[in-house]
Amino acid sequence: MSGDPIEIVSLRKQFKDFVAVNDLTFSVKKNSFTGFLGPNGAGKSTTLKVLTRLINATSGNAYLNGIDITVDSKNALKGVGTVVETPEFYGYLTPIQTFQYIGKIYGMNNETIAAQTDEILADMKMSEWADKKIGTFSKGMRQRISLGLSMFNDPSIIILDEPTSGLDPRGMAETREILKNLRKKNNNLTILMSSHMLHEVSDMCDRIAMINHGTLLMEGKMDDVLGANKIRTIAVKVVGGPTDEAIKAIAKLPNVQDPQVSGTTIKFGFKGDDEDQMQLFSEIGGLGIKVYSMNEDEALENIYLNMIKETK
Amino acid sequence: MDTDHPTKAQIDLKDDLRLACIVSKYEGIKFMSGKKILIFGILIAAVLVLISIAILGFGGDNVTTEGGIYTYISFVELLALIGATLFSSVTLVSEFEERTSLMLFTKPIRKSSIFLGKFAAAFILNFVFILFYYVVAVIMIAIKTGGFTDNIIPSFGLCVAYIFSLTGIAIFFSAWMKKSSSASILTFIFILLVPGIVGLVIAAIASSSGASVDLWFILDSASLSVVSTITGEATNGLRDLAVMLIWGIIPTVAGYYLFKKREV
Repeated sequence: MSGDPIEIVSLRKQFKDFVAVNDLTFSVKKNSFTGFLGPNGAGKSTTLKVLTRLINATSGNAYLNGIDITVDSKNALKGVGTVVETPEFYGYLTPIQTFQYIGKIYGMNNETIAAQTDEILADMKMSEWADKKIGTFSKGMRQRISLGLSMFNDPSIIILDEPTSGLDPRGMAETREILKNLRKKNNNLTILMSSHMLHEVSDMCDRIAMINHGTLLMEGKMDDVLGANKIRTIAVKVVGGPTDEAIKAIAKLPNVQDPQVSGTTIKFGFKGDDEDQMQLFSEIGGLGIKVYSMNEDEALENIYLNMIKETK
Repeated sequence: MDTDHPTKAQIDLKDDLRLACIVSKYEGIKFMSGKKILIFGILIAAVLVLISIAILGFGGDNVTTEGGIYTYISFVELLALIGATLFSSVTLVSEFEERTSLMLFTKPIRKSSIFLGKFAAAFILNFVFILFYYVVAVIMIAIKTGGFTDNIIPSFGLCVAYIFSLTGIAIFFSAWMKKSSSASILTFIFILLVPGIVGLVIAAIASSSGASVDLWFILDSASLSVVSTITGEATNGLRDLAVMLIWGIIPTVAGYYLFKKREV
């Protein structure tokens, strides 16, 4: 065993003829915020559901703080906060009663429960709803309660399965803000988060793991992953569409690779750092082309799409 | 060896029981805050009022203590069945149907504690209502006749065993079904019809071969002792008690197995 807070070893989950997770092995580094990426059906949610005891593994092991959840789920889940999709709560309970219920399960005393509940509900901006029945809450409010509960009892690990899924833009922004603040407040926290939203992952996570067809494609530091793929994709939008002259002019610029036209946009690869890119934009501006937009495509998205394409 | 300190297994068991009590308490709160408990309460009150009117108002001087109690207790099996259908049959399935399992199952609590807590809550609730029914029946008859029959105590004991068997069957369907409504309907139909039909089939088969068969092992037959004990007719109370307990234990164990294997 590696000693990492989350360690998955040769994990397999089979639903009848469909293998959702196939001999998956990887670990999540201590105090990291790891984004867990993969297309629909890649096995992300299945893996996280095994880690949170919502489904049983067909074979293999999954360790949380060194305890195998497939063997001793009760002790493995101690010190672990979870948000799986948007969980429902007991509609007849208020947030305070819900925290009391879960606090009692954690074995916390009444004073600690009350103190942590007040603090978490304040962080979640839910204090004024503390004594209202959850059954009346919107999905966004329930997700905030869910995130709050995941932080209850000071966990060392938080597992999030698409925490912004199904939320409106405001709800998504609030959730991301909460998670960022959580990271700022607690450095001794390991977070594993699955998400479809690559900008969300690149914005919040310092490590990523990608899977497809239930197997690991890559895992590493976000900077290393982005750094290892130094070719950026630049999109230049031209009024009236790009002319042949414009394409040729751009192709002659240093470090530009393989310009392609798509509608009014010229897309090309560019090898260089931020300074080089600034210089490139300046040179394109001086070409006399009627450019109305220049930007770098999402780097992580390019890497993600390439990796997924390779495993098809 | 120091025997004063509990072993790890003892500590674990104690903690698991503590967690089962917590689940049970909050399951009780759930029942208390729902409409079903009100409906069940009204139903029990209505039965008590109607029987009381019939006996106290129109019974005249012919009402005996045993006869009066018998009239009350003859409805108790149906009421217990309704109680099991309303509470026990939904207690597990609702966690999956309403997706609250995503919150509860991801916490450090064994599924056995969740199962035990929910079983206990559903059983205790039905038990309390039926106890109330028995107490009111005894009080009403005492008012009418001034008498008390000791037979009410074994009848109540057998009724508790019957509630246990109903809870076991209901919780089996609750662990198996995907929807609360399916679990409730199956519980009600199964308990109301299936044992009786099985008994009839067995009796018919036995009859066709010229033999007669005592259907003591069928739940319906065993539960008759809840009422017949009042008049002293039941001669095999212990056997009936054992049959009802077995009818409770087997589906409870099967239900636990299904619940433990069930995925979200």
